[in-house]
Order: sequence, then structure tokens, then C-alpha cells
Amino acid sequence: MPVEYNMKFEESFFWDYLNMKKEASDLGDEDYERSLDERLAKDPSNISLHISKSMIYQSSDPEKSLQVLEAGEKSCGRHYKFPHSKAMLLAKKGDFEKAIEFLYEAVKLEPCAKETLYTLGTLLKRVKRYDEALKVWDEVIKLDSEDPMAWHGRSSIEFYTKDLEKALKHINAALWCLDEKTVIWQHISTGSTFVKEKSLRGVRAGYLANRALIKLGMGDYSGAADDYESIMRDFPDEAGSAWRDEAMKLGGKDYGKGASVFLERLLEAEPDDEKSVMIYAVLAGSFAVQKKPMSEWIVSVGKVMNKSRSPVATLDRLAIYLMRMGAVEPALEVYKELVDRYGERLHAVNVCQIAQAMGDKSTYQKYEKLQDKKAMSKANKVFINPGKVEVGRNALCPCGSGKKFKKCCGKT
Amino acid sequence: MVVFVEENIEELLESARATWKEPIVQEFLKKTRMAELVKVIGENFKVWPDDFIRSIDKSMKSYANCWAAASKAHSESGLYKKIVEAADIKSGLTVDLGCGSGGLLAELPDGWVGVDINNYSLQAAEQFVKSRGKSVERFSRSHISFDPESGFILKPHPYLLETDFKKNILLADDLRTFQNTIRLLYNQGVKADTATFTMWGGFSNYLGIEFIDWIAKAWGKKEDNSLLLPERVLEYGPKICRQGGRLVFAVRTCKFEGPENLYAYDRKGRRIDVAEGLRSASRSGEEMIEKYKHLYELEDKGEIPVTVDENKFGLNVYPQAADYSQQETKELLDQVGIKNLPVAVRIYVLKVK
Repeated sequence: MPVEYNMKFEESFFWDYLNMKKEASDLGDEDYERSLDERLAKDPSNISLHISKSMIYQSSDPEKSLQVLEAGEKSCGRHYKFPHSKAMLLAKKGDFEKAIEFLYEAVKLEPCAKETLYTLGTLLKRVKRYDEALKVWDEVIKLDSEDPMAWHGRSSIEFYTKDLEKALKHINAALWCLDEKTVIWQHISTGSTFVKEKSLRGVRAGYLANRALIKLGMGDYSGAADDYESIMRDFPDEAGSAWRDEAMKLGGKDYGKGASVFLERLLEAEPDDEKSVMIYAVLAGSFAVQKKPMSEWIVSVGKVMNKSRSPVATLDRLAIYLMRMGAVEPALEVYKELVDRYGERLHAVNVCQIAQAMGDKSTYQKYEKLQDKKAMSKANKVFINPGKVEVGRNALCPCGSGKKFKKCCGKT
Repeated sequence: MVVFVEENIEELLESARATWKEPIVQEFLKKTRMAELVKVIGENFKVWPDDFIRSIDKSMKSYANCWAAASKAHSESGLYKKIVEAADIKSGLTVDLGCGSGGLLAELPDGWVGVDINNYSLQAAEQFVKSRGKSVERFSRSHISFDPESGFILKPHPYLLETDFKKNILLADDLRTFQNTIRLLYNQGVKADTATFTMWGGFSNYLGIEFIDWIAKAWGKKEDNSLLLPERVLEYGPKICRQGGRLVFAVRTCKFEGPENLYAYDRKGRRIDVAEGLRSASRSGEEMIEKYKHLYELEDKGEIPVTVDENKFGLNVYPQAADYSQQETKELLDQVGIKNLPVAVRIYVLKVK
């Protein structure tokens, strides 16, 4: 099976494609189409030109785009790039089954084109045809044993089919194979023009996050935490946002305990980070609802609150998150803590409302007396008619959203 | 005597015929002298792929035969055992790169992978290790592929094996790419504890002093393309070995004594290049003396480093191992008509960072 020359050919093809993409953005659609037509008149069998032309209408008029491809196929003859491009169009429209048919046709024409196999593997996974997807990724591995995307693809399918042991082996392989050259190749072959923006670190972080997920599935929480720590090391500036959000997602996917473990580790590294503290508490709360007894959860919250610089604001937001998540019982505990420990009598009303809803009479009676009616009426005014309260436009909104006043309640 | 079975040749022929029809192959042929030959020979030239394969097959078979005999002599003299002891390979997964007829494999603790591109050598290795009472499974199919840069190439069949490494494995692979070795290891999610690359170069001579210089350069990632295979081993070693794993080189060296030792001579006194494909052996003696002057001076003073910082450039020299092979190799070289070639073996152990 001849292999090497196909890959070299594809590389030049995609550099052409990237150049054309740049030209399109420089010229604008109309001028670009005119320029393509002129070149096509001289060189009607240039596949890249036909495909570039079809891409002008990819979003605005898919039907026309399809027609351009068919016309191209007529003048150039059968080439795998045409069914591949048709498949991409159909996939964008959401017709995955038909797209897969076209991709199979493309693979038949050119079994060595990695980017077609990448797309096919990804789509097959999306429609849950896991066995077929696995075969496709194996084909890529046979073409190039050091293809990180193929090992990653294999691993992700094994993750979905709950073969976690293999998934772990193969995500390791993906990480071993990862280097700058392959990442750039990967971006070229998937048609991405953001080669520079998506660096090796970014792809590595994605793989590590997936490995962490597999490890969590296997109950190896500290191993997963190790992976998240590596991600933090790679992204010190963004450590507080993207990957903590990932942790939140984990918390919602029954990986509460695992998420707690790695957030604990994160807090060890950054004890002053308010957001981590809160997410940790939320996750601990959600986990408490599912598995742990309340007392354990309160200990966890206490532990993280001791690290927090402004526990009142943190607890306040924590309670809001918990209510949104439907974790009523932990939310009640948080409000109680705010009133009892920090003297925030404003929150007594929340305690009362929750206690009433839960039918907890004794709590209701205890906290009813503590309600700070003056503060409550002020807070209500802010909420109901923000225009009458003097709040700086750039100050934080008093509703507690965390946004600026001008972008939140002060918007109207 | 090893008996080889021609189990792969039909497959090779089939793949070559398929490749021959590819338009890019025809384009390649037009650009090369082959096209002129087509004009001269005409239609008969179409039989060429078959002839080509048969010639590759024949040379592979003859190499395997010669090396099996030499390797047997080394094995009987205890050289391979000495290498295993000197490199302290006691357990773990060992990948023997360019395993040839399995001389080293027979001495390794179980749990190894023997890698070679020559399927006849792999057959010989299978027979040899089995005769030593070891179990082994062989995966040795190949096919003919095409590369517009280098033309037709022999490629091992891509294996994606599921194994727990309880069985010893013989695997066809091209050490220029390491594709099958990487596939095998990565698919299992493991890396090797030791990778060995021993007695490379078959019957060729080799300058130990140049090897030291070269290995220092290559390990420091400086470019030197004079020696393809050891360079590839250094490049892929860290990929196939775990962190802290080791790369073991056992190199046939020729102690430098004068310009005449750079070449071997046939019985009629004509100079021949025994190190076919090794540019180092075909350089002129004066050039070599000038290039490695500083190293020769160091060697004269006994200042060639024996052990350097292991993590950076872990070099251990075990001169005892050299004594084992010298006599046998000399005899062997006499048999094939080569004289003036004092040979020794040196072992270098490099630790993977």
C-alpha cells in the first residue's frame, strides 16, 4: 500500500487552502469569487480552486456550494476531496448519516488521507457507531503510529464504551506522541487557520483533561488531580477560569468526589483564590446532597471558608449556586452560617423561606425574629427599582450578580 | 544451518505489482533512468517489479544467512551473555532493535521484543530462541511501498497487536521509522525499560573513537547525518523507553592505528569498502586524522571519559567485553577475505531523561 507520497501531497494542498483563506479575507467574497473564476478559466482541473469556491457559499447557501462541488467533480474527475467536502457541508447541516456515506466514498478513493479519516472517526463517534469509529482510528494509527489525534480518538471511544483501562492506555499514547509538529499538522489537516493560537500547550491540556476524566471514572482521584495540576502549570494565567469551569462540569457529572479532590489540591497551590474556594464548596455541597452526610459537608465548607478572605461574599454566592442546583439543604446551612456566624441578618429571610418550604417549623420560628426588616426593604428597593438607588455605574451591582451595575440591573 | 521458508515473497510481489500501477510511480519512472531503460528494453520491462522483489528477497536471505553464522559464533563465544551482564539487564521489558538472528534475545530475561526489517533474520531468530527453550511469537510480514523521494521501499506490515508481553515477540519494523515498535508499545500503554542496539553493521568495521564523538553530538541534538541508524535509535529511544530507561549500544569498533586501518583489503590487496553504506569508512585517512585529532590526543593520554553525568550523557565503557569478540571476529573476517582489521566491542549505556 503506497503511503508516503499521499501525505506529502495533502500538506501542500492544505497550505494552498490556507493561502486561499487568507486571500478570501483580504479581498472580500465577491472579488475573491471573481478572482477564483478567472483562475479556474485558465486551470479548470485545479481541485483546490473548486473547493475554495464552494467554501464561499458554505454558510450562506449550502445548495449552491454543493453545486459548485459537483461541477468541480465533473471537470476534474473523481477525487476524494469532493466527497469529503460534500460530507463537511452535510455535517454542518446536521445530516451526519449522509455525511458519513460521503466520507466512506472518499476513503474508498483515497485510503491514506488522514484528514478524511479524522473527520470520519469523529462523525462516527457522534452518531454512536463506536465499532466503526474504532476501526477508522486504527487505520490512521496504521498509517502513522505517532498520530496523537488517532490515539486520542481511540481513547475517547473506549471511554464512551466504558473500556476505561484501554482508554487510559491510549490517551497516554496520545500524550506521548504529542509534539509541536504534529499539532500544527493536525490543525492544518482539519482546515483550521488558527495554527498559532492553538498551541501545543492547549492541545496537551485538552488531552490531560480527558485523561483526568478517565482516571476519575476509574476512581483514581489523586491521579486525576495530578493531571489537573499539570494543566495549571501549563496555564498559570488561566488556571482560575477555564479549568475550574471544567471542574464544575465534572461535579455535575457524578464526579463530585474527584472534583473535590483536585480542587483541594488546587486550593493548596492557590489558597487565596476566591473562585476555587467557592467552586470547591459548591461541589462539596452537590456531593453532600448525593452521597455524603451533611456533617461531613459542613466540615468541608468550614475548611475552605477558613482559607477565604471574604467569607461573607463567598458564602452568599455559594448559597445562590446551591439553590440553583437544587441543593436546598446545604443552601439552608450556608444561610444559617451567614446569619449565626457572620451576623448577616439580611439572610434570615432566606433561612425562613427555605425552612417554611421544607416544613421546618423550629428553624422558621428561630430565624423569623432575626430578620433585618430595614435592610430587607432597602434590598428590595434596589431589586425592584434600581434607578432610585445611588449606585456608581461601574460599581458592582447590588443584586449580587458579580457584574458591573451598568451591565446588570442598571442597564435599563 | 538455518533453513528459511519463503513465506512472504508472494505478498511482496503482489504489493509491488499494485504499486507499479500507481500513476505517481509511473511519473517517478519517467524522471529517472528507468524511463530510458523502458525505451531500450520495451514492453519486457514490465516484468521489472518481479525482478526487483526477487533481488531484494535474495539479498535479504543471503544477509540473514551470513549474519546467522556470525551471530552463532558470537553467541558460542559468550559475547551476548557478556553484553547482557555488562549492561545489567535483569528484568523488565527489553526491545532489541535490529535483533538479527536473535543472538542477544536468547540471553535476555523473558519479556522482550526483537525488532528487525529482515523477515528471514526474524525466522532465524525464531528458530534460534526456540532451540534455547524460549517461547516466541513472530510477526514478520512486509510489503513494497513507494516514496517519490527514495523510490521503492520495503515496508513492514503495520501490526496493531494486543499483547501483555508475557510472550516474547519478534516484530518486523523499519528502524528508520520505528512505526511498528511504537504501535505495539503505545497500544499497550507501556514503554520499554531497556532498548538495545547491538553489533550493528554486520561485518563492517567501525571507528570507536568517531562513535564517541558522534554520539556526544547526537545526544546533544547537534546535526550529524553520517550515521542514520544509531541516530534514529537515539531519536526514538526516548519515545520507546520509559523515563529513566536505558539505551544500550554494543558497538563493533576498530582501534585506530593508521590510515591503512580505515580500509579493509581483499586477498589480492585491493582496497574494499567493507562498511557498505557507512560514509565514515570511506573517508580518507588524513581527513580522519585531522578531524579527530583532539580525540586521539585525549585517547593517548587516557582522558576519554569513561563515565560522564548519567542523565546528560551516560557513557560506560566495558573493555572486558571487547576481548570476547576480537578473536572470533578476526577469524570470521579472514574467512571472507578481509585483513588488517582489529575489531573490538564497546558498550555504551545511555539513560533516558
